[in-house]
Amino acid sequence: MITYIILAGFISLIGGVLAFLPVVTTLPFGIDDALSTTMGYWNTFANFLPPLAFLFQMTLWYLGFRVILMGLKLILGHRAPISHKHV
Amino acid sequence: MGYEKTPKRVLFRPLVVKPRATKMISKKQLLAIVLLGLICVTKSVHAGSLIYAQPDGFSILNLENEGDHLVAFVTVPQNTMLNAGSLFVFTGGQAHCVSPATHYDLYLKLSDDPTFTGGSEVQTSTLQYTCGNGFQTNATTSVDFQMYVGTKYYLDINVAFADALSVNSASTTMASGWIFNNATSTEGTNYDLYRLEGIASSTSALSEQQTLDVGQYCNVLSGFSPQNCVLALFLVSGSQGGDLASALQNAVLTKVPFGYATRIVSLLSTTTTADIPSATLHLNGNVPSALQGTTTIMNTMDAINGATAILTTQIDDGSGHNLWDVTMPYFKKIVYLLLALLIIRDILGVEFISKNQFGTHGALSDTNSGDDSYRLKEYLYNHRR
Repeated sequence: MITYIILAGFISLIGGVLAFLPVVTTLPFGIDDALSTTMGYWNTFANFLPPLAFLFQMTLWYLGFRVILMGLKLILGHRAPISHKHV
Repeated sequence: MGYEKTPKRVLFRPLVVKPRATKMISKKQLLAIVLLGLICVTKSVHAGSLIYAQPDGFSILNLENEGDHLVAFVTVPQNTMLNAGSLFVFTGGQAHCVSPATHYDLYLKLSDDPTFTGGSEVQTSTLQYTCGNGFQTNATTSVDFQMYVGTKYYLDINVAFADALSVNSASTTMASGWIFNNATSTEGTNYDLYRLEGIASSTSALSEQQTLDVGQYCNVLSGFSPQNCVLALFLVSGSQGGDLASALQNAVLTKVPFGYATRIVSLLSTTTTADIPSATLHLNGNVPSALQGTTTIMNTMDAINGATAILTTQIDDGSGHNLWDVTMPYFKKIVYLLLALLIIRDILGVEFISKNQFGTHGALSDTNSGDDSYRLKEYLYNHRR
């Protein structure tokens, strides 16, 4: 309850400050259509061959993990608790 | 190899230490791996799966007859504070209705009162069950609930439903999963048709089900619960969390520039499919005369649809599984294992496969870059007099 009230107030404050910004509904320069169509193709392919789609998803997940590690290393430097040989 | 090419003019060949294979795992790393393994095993014992190491929320401990109720005991593990989810009940096998072509109601009731007469009734669910042609194989219904630590819950499957059905246990084919056989009601009706499966994801629970009412738990005159009162005071409940997320979405995440990222994420998470366009090929020019001027249409979707039909053909063993249903769990476990090894390598720096095992000693500085003592020897060798 208390946390909710604090967070809700904070969000409404930010909303008030950013009220002048426009709302994004579609991506510019035709990217929206292109990305939408691409995802449609990808979903067709993923339904056809789930293992490859799963491998792709896990690769993306691992890349995200590496990005987090690199961010840690950027912030903490040699104190980052990671292997500096691989990351 | 580089370290063997000692110039001939050197009278005394300096002592060249043959580079040993890089020590793969140090004691500290081994200890860390053992600890990590212990944590994983502990998690897996609790969660029932090494890979999905998240609290399942609850486990069904027992299924018994109590009076005229078929009761499943459900207890929440101590390390989860609050949980919610859905409990699904499937009828399995061939259950024939006593009175065909009649409608029956299947009731599910989850309560913390074993007699179902008092206590706080958690949730009930009703499924209208239609008998047809004397046989009905699968009826499914679910009950949504929320539950608290330390409280024992009871699931009541309404007896009217059990009376309406009887099962010849000899001809019953059970699917895999948690199955409780040969539960018998007091009416003497055999019904080994219950498959109880507990599903309670913590994340979905937090986002959907929980309601912590301060007025209910913090009222010292009635229903006072110190633990739940404190939780209700400080924790953000599921519905409140949803409100906050929605408010944040409207206030910030849909606006420029965050809105672009939101839109991209939204597009990436769509599940709609689009047919891959066909390619039309006009054959002209340097082609055999028989093909001159012909047009070929290559429709990729024909091939994909045909292959999909084969790949998703169900196995004829009654399970309704296809190739992917059978193989994907194993494939996923292998991939998860590889991911775990990669993560351990990235964090601990452990080489699970050493390059030296394949005899690539040539690039000394590369293969032994992590070995300072060898690097020193190499330096001394290169700067010898």
